[in-house]
Amino acid sequence: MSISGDLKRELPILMTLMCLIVPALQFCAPESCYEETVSQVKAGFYQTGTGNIVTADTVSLYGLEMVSTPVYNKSADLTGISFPLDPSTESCTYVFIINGITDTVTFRYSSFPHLISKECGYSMFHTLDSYNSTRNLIDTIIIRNRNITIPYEENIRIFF
Amino acid sequence: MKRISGYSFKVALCLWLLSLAAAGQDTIDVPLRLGAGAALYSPVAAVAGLYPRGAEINGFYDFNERITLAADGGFSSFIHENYNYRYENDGFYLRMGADYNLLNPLLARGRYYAGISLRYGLSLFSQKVPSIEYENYWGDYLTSGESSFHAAHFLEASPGIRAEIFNNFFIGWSVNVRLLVFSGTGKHLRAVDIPGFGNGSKPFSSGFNYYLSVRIPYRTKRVIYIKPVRETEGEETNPDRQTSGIGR
Repeated sequence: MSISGDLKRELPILMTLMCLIVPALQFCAPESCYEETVSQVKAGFYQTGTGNIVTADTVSLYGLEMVSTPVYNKSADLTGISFPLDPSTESCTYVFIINGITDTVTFRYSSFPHLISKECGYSMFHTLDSYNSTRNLIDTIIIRNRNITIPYEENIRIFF
Repeated sequence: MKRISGYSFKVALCLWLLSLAAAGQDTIDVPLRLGAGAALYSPVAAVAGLYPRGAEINGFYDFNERITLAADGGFSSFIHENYNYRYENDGFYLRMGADYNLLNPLLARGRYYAGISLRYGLSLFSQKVPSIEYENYWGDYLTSGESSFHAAHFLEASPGIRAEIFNNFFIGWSVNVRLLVFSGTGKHLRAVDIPGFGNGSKPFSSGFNYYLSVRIPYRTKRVIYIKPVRETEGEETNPDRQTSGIGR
């Protein structure tokens, strides 16, 4: 390290000044939340017998006694759907209308809080235990992943 | 044969010493210090109404002219309120490690420091989430997280500078980069803040701090600084100019 005589004399002054002068502060603006915060059950549609992915012509979905606020309202050409569970109870019931045929499915689960990040706060995750379903169109439901979280990984397969 | 090898060794030693003399060397007495100080960020944050609030004290011991052994200890209190939750924690932390002065002893002279610090940190804290608000298709849901006690481990690297302002009184600042090794909270109710570390919801944390310290010399070490001379024909050697040096 080559130091001239002048710089050697100035170095103590420079270092003292650097210690006394307030350094450039990091940005203090609060960060925003850009992540998804609502957990949902991810359900895929499959054909009974072949196990192939199937496309439903029309899908309507709403919570029991919540027909005025559907999650899906006659949505067309869907191979899968996603819907949230009620964190205030240990079970909730959905009404599925697939290709005009109505089925009612009750899910049972446990719920717990999960920190997304400091900026986003907490979400409610679930562990899916079991289900009950009518069998007007739906043949069976297979639980593939009991952990109901935010990443879009398939949780259940609905066969009809 | 024994006599010849002994004679050869003495000749080689003399030649080496002569080469040192020809290269030029400085001898400097560097004071080795020990002392204590305090970090300023937490008390200033308390006055400014920011979190985390607390206090931190530091202890130092110069191992040699380059390396300082150091330990930091403190406590902090943290409250964070968002539109959908409130988080609180209190705890203590301890960081231990060493500072390495990148300035050569001829420049530093035991008074100036520009280098990097490495620390291992341990944090013991309790946290609770008095309110969590969650909204989805089914409506608004209110819940809370119970108080729990945890121990976290982390590593820290801190480049910084320090200078003696007046007799044995030092001021300095550093930029801190920390890596969370183990949070102790599990993967769901992670800590929003970890005392001594920072944002516990992320694996890395960064920040800066100011320090005041008193460092008393406990002994003096003689350091030999060797100045290699560039042997170019016709070039005069400037005794004030060092091209490189090794402090021993």
